Amino acid sequence: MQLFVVDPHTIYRRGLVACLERLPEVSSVGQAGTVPKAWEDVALLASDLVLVDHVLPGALDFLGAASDATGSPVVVCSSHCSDDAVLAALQSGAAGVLCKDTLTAETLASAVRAAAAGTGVVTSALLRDLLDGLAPDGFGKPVAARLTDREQQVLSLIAEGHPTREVALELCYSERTVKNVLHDVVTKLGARSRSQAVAHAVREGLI
Amino acid sequence: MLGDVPRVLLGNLEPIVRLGMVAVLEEDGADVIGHEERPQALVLMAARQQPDLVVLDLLERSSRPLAERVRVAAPDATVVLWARDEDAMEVLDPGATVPRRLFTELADELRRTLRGARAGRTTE
Repeated sequence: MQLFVVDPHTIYRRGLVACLERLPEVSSVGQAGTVPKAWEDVALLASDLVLVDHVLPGALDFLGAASDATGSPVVVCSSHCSDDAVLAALQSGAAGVLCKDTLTAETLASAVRAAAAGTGVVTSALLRDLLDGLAPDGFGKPVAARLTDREQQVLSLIAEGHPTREVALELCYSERTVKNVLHDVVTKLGARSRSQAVAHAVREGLI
Repeated sequence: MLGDVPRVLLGNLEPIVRLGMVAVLEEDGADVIGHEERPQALVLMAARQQPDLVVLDLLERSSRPLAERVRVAAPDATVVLWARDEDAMEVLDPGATVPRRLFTELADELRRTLRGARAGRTTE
C-alpha cells in the first residue's frame, strides 16, 4: 500500500510518516507540507490513501480533487475537529476524520486499514459530538469531557476578561491559534458568540 | 569525552510527535538518548545523562514546572517546550531566567537550538 501525508507541521508529519512506515502492508509514504507541493509530487497520484490536515490553505478543495485524481480515499487528520470542521471535511469528500488530540499509533493504523478497505472512519468521540450537535436540544447538554485542556485554558482566560493578545502571550500561543481555539469552542458549545460560550461554560462548570 | 554530537532527551511528548522529533533531530545529527514520560523518571534521567537538549510538550500544564526541575538536574541543558501544531515554541537556554518564545518557522528554530546546544557543549 502506498500512502501520502499532507501536513504543514513538520514534526507531526514526520511522526505520521514514521508510524505509517512501520505497518507491514505499507510500501511507501510520500509527504508534503502544502497542497501545491503535494500536487507536484508524482507519488500522490499513485497513492492508495491520502492523509491531510485540513487547516492547510486549499485543503477542502484538495479533499475532493485528490480523491478524484487518485481514486483513493482521502482522510483528514487534524487538531481542528469542531463539528463544523468535521462536517465541512466530510461534505468536501473526506472518507474520514481523525483528531490529533486523541490519535495514537494504534488508532492511526486501524483507521488507515479501514479507510483503505473502503470504510468511512470517524472516531466515536467525534461522531458523538456531531450527533449531539444535530440534536435539537444539543445546546445545554453537559460537554465538560469534550473541552480539551487547551480549550479550557483559553476560555478561562477569556472569562477573566483578558483580550486575545494577552491570552496568546500568557499561554505562549499565536493570536491566530487563540482565535481558532475560540472558534472551535463556540461551535462545540453551540453558542452564537464568545460571550455566550463563556456564560455557558461558567454555568455548566466547564471552566 | 563528550564529543560534538548533541544528546537529546525527550519528555512528555505525544507518541506521534515523539516519533517525528526523533526523525528530525537524528537527521540533523543528534543522538536521541531516550524518552521518558514519567516526570520523576525524566528528572532522574536528565541528572544521570546530562543531555544537551530536553524536549517537553508545551501544551501540558505540568511542563513548565517540570522544565524547572529538569534544569536543576541538568543545568547545562537547553529545554524546549514544543507545541504539536507548531504555532509556538519556548526555549529555556542554560542559565537564562526568561524563556525565548518563538512563533514562526519552528522546525528551523528547533534545528538552530539543537546546533546552539551542540556549540555550547563543544566550547566547554
